[in-house]
Amino acid sequence: MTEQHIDPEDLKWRCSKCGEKLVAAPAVVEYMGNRFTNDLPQCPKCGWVLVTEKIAKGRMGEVERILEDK
Amino acid sequence: MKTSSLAAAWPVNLYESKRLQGVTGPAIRPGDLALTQRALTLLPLAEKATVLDIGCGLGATVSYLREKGLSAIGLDLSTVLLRDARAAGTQPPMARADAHRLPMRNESVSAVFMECTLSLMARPARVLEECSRVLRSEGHLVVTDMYWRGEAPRLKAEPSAGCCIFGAVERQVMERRAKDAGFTVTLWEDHTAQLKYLAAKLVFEYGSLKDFWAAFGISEEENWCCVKPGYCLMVARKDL
Repeated sequence: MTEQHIDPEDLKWRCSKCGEKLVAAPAVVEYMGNRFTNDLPQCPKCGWVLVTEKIAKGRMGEVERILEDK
Repeated sequence: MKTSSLAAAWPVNLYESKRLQGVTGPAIRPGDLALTQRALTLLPLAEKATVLDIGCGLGATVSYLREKGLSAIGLDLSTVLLRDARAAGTQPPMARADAHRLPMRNESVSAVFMECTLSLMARPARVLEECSRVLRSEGHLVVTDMYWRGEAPRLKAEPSAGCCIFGAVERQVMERRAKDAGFTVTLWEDHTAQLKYLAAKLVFEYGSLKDFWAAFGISEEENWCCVKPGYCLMVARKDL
């Protein structure tokens, strides 16, 4: 997922632990032995990644269906 | 045949996309060079053997085969891909040619590679006949391509409509075409996991597969959700 797919609203969140504003940065996603590197909103300090419901049910949901052959 | 009709016979716009190449890598197909490497382990090719790559694109396979000591030659119909290959510094012999009329002498090559390109051809049977013509006796044909894991769906788009999925056929059809062109299939392997991985990467890059198709002006078919495309490696030997 490139930065253009990140909802600007998601970058208004702050990390609850560090207080840092989230930034778009590469994150590694693993599923069923496959690794993907994509830009996702994350804390620039501790690296926690925000996966919104929209992303989880949208792109990640489609990827899950593809890999699981559904 | 005029240039315009050649272009119509082998549409390549999708594969010329830098954005797509960013997802697939320079090989512009599922699996990158993994299946090329796999096939090469199976072929008893002598050093400096002449090998032809039909639909060489940016020349990834040609470069790899030459690194392995083979005299590899690449052919592609896309002037854009051939130009981009040269701009990127790829030096192996590559030329523009139509796979339906290969510019090679009879029985002049030891192996032909067609990696995710046979399904793009307007007349795949004719292309396989050409492969048979240019291959030496007992020469090898390596095809990696999309295929239908179940019954082929009835798609509205014609084969060679701009993406390999439209020219995909069932395994039996692939094998029968090879046999009809004078080949004996010696290996068939399913590598659908490579296709799924690429499809997943496309979803991350484009937002969804629907958006990926739309980026190239291809509408999703009504029964798109029901089809089960697969990916395979087929190796065949030219009959004596």
